[in-house]
Amino acid sequence: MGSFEGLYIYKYLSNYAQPENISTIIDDKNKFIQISLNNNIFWKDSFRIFPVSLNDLCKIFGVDGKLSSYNIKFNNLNLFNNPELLKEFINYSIQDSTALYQALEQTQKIYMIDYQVDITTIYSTSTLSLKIYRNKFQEINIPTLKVILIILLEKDILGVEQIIIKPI
Amino acid sequence: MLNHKEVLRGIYNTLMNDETFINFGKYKVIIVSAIVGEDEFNYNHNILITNNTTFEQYYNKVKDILTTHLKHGYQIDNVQRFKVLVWNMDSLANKNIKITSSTIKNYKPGNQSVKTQIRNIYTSRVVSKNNISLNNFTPLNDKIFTPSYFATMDIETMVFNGKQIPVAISIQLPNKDCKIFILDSINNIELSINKL
Repeated sequence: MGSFEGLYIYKYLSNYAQPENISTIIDDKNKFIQISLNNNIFWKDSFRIFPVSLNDLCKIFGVDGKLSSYNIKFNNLNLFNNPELLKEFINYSIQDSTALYQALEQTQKIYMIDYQVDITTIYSTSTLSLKIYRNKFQEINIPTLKVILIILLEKDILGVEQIIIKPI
Repeated sequence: MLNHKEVLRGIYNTLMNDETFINFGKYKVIIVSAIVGEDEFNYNHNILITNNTTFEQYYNKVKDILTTHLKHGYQIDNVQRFKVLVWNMDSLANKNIKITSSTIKNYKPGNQSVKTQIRNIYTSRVVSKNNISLNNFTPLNDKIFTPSYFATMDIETMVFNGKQIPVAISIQLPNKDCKIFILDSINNIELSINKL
């Protein structure tokens, strides 16, 4: 979802709903982390949480993976003129979503029972790790590193103009 | 010395009216440097202040060091810029920062400052509950709960005129139902694409 799919979802949500009802979280490489509609429906990238291929994810959690490997003919509009290929493509597409769902359903059970973490509340592998740590192992507050500011002031100090305030 | 006092008042007023500075922790150590050309010299040694420190309290703690600067020939008229370094002393990470002067009685760094921060949580505008969670990773106490429902979605694309376009969206719902939305191939396919 990070790049193309996120852009597609965001574009069509923007046409569908009022702009103020759509919000996104984007990383430093301009990839989508989350898209939300009405603060009620959230789209997240499963790859950011489990950065392995769908087939590997399914193997790890013991569920059925893809029906077949990707057929290059799935990338051509002529597919719509070939009923058999179209049927294969539809089944392939459905199984992608089904396989991912089943794998995530297994992960949800594991992380909920063992760590009391709801995977719908996290965004990435690192936020998953942090939440497990905070839930199961952390005992005292850990300060973050927002500890210093640098402020530059211009010479006209009586009507001072502030140039930079930079948290490090 | 009047010039120096006015300069310090300008610095003090600027800091105390700046939201970033005000919200940057309750206890803060500041050091002021003066920049003349490419040179930078210490103007105001490290001093512990809070948002409630008055200008007179601040000035009385630093005025002696300013006298020393005058003796060494630094003229305030030549100073083009001042740089203020500010350390957030609410943070345990800063508990070893040197404090030469303090405008606060009985201040103890480290754990004591954190305890003070928590004690004042309901009475201090600056150190709010929100600030504590922003400045700290806090332990969570999530217990057994009902997991949220979720669905999965996949978008298949194809090349059209050199661009990838979405042609199928499959969605697996929590009730085991699965939906697929596919490009309308019964009508003119290019018309369908144009409507995307």
